[in-house]
Amino acid sequence: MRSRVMMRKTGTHLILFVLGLSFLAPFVWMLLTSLKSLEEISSLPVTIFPKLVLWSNFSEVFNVIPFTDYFLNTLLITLLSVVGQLFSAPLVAYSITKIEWTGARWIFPIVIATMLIPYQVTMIPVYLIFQKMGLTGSIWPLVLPTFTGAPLYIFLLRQFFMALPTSLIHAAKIDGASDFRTYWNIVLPLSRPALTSVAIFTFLYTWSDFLGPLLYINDAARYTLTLGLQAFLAEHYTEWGLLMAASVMFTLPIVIMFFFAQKQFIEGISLTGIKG
Amino acid sequence: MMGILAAMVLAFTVTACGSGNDKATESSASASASQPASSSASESASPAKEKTTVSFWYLWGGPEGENVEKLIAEFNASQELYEVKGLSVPDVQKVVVGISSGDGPDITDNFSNNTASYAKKGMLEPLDEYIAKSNYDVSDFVPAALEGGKYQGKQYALPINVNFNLMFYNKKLFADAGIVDPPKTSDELLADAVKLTKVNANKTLEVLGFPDFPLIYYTTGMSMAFGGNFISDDDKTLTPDNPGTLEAIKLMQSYRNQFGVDNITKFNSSAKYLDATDPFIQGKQAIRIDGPWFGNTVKNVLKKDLDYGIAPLPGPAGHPELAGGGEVSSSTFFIPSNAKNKDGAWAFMSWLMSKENMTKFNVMFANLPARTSVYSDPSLQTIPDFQLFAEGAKSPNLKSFPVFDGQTEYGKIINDEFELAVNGKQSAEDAVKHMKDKSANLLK
Amino acid sequence: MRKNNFTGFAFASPWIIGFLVFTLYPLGASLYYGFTDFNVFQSPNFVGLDNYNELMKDDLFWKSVRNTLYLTVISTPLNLLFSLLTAMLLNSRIRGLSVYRTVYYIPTIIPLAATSLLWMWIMNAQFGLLNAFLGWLGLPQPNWLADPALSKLSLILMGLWSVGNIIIIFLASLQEVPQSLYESASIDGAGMLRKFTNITVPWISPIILFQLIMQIINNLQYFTQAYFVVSSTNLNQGASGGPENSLLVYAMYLYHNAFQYFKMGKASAMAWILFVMAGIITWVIFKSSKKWVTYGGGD
Repeated sequence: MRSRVMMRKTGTHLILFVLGLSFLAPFVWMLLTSLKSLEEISSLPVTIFPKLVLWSNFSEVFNVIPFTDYFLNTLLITLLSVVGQLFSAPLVAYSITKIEWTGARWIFPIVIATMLIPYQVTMIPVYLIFQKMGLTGSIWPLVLPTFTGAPLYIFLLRQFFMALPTSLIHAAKIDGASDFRTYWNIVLPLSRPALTSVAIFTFLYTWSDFLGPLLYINDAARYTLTLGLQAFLAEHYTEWGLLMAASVMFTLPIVIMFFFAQKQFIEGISLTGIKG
Repeated sequence: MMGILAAMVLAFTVTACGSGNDKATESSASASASQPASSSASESASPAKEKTTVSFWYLWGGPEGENVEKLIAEFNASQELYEVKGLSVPDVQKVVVGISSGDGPDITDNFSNNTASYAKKGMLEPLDEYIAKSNYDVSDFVPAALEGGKYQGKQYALPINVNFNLMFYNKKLFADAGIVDPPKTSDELLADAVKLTKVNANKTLEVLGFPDFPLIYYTTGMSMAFGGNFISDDDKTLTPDNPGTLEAIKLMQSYRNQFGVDNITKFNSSAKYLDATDPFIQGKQAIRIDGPWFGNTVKNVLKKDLDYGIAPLPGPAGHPELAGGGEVSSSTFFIPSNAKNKDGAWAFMSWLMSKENMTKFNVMFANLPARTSVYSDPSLQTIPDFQLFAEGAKSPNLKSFPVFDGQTEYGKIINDEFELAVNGKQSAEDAVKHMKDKSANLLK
Repeated sequence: MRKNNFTGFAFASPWIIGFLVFTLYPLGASLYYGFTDFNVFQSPNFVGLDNYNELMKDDLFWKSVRNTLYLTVISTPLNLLFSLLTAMLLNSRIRGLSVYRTVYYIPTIIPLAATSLLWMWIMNAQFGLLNAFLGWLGLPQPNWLADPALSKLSLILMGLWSVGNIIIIFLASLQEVPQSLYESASIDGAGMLRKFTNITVPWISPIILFQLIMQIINNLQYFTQAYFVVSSTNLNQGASGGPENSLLVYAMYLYHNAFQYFKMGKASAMAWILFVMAGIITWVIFKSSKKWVTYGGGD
């Protein structure tokens, strides 16, 4: 009996380990390729470790594309979007969980329903709205919608607010605090973990977004990193070592952020999975 | 923390609302900021008198974009009236949408195959008046290239270059295979290609003998070289089912059947055009269809020592009168009909299209100028294979793809059916029949 | 308690504005554009059902429908099943859980752009790691992304690498299943399979339902990865759909119509077809879910 349990444990470990390796291998390959010369990459047989470690691929990226500009453009859009979601999503979530009003019943099902609308359905008219406003080509079409709250984050925060004890809010109300005071002084500080999750997911989503910038950014000098990578790829003189070096540099901020906020990542993900 | 956030939010919303109005100035400011070298050069040259701004969006990016900026700086320094601001927008779609929003450029470049569809939508300013008014000489332009900028009798765009391809061949591979002369006909091309091909032990290709890569240079180019024409002489019927296309498909099918479609697609998919893994540059492709920029990239950019020869594209067997054929297209410049500074745009266009500056431009891009009168200019001779291409440009058998507003769709239909046929998914006869059927309603 | 409509409305106003401007109006507008020949440059003319008729006769439209359905039908169950099995392995109270969890999760935070590039390189037919590996094992080395028959499967394989968040969600819900249920089932002599079908699945079925729907919706919008693969082979030829159009997914053809051909009317018609399709699929799944989803198991 005992040995059977042991065997099963070992089997589980073995599967998880091999699976883990195959999840890690692509990363390692990305790193190894980023250190290889073009000659090595384009010759057979395929080598695993670089014959000659070429750190210069990383500095070369700055010569081939304006990486710093793309990085700053992406960072600006991303930070503004995080601000936008942190401003709007908790307000809306609060209104449907902690305020007694007629709209509360209606908004939540609509929020859930809008999660099911594919981006492409509203894409063209929204594009035309921004075009009429003369905003295409600027970053505002990417940023302004975040100030109206994305359904997923409203949903996530609603789950969190529902779990907050109503007694706290009642107590504040009895002390004469307005709804806004209660929201600002009591609910938001208590919701720091959930807000962190919203910030992280917004960061992740915006940092990686491709279709949005593809639609709205014209000027090559204002490209985001995703657009820059795609342009780089489509350019004639493509070199995989450089592409992988650029990908590493593009991905690194997110991986660093992940290791600092691993707990919020995992908790936030779990929160979005909870049944509605 | 939250207070700061709220203040930021407020500030951002305010700037967001304000930015709608001054977006144009904002974006042009950023454009000049991104090109510090050129803008400082032009600023130092600007006199006290106000110059009007001409916004110029171009499709080139990277080092090519820097070349364009050099020319812009020269123009700005050359006169007192206009200040051209360049912006690299390397995506055709974005330029067109920019124009549609009324916030687009005063002048921009494009491929000649889009002119008709833009002109039909009313997007382009006719240039005939400007040409007449300034008595601008266009008599030495390659006629086919000029034609590509016309729609319903009006000139909507001017070509800066002429693009067409010749056959590049690797001399060492030819010598190894015991072939003395490059192939002149379709039969010789196939026979030579088979001899030149080297196969690995696992049936994959070591050396590709046929000009199979890149496929898009083969499709319509070889169809025309084999005497095909994609529109009837009276311009009323589309003729993708011409004998040239049929022969081009069959030839490639014969080659691919011999060595396996799979092996060839594997070879092609791992190759990247014009970089160090480009098979021709690595000595792994014996015959290549390509333009004048190709030799320039090999010799001047990648600095590879590659011994290649250049010959006209092979013609159909038994028709020597059709030799030297192929497809011509060009990069063109146009002024949108809603441009704000049309006179400035024309001033820049006519400057750029002058003999001197057109030559400079084409030296930078290793292309053939659209004006034949400059071909003896010494600076053009730095392009490795310039004279061979200049010679090739004289061939009466070069044709252009039909100019009409559905030509992009037409091209896509041809490419799609061609691909299916050479991948062994349909016969050549079926392919041209499908091309014909699917394009039946395009020419209304 | 008295209703507090003003405050509620004020708090919800950002979303209400957003809903009106970025969702409700666009839904109506794209419905309208779908019946016009709008091309951005000229004002729209009403053309009735022309766009819909044109689409029904358009081979590329049907090709894009088939491509997207293929991706959705294979990728959705595969991703869910793989995630669930992995989550169950992780849930067996093993040591090193947090390390495994991190390893499986990290690929999902990699931007799709980078993921696509990386996998295009791994799947390169001649110089890629995958074929080198298969070669060492003496297995055939397919032409992954360039073979029309394999290109979509390659993308599906690539997608399996990024299911970490589903694994985490399943793991979190599995951890909520009371151990006592399994223990009493063991006493009754239930095997692994019966515990799985009688306890695990019913307990987490609402989560499976939610993930199923979100996966389908996401797959119907599949775009970025295909766009990257196509743009590497396309030599500035504009509206390409990959080898034999095998990667011309629905969202890509819609994008081509809207922003390459400027057929906004036709693209809007496509958008509405997608909307209706997504609605029907979701509705059918919800209806059927009454048979297999158990509520009240958790909480």
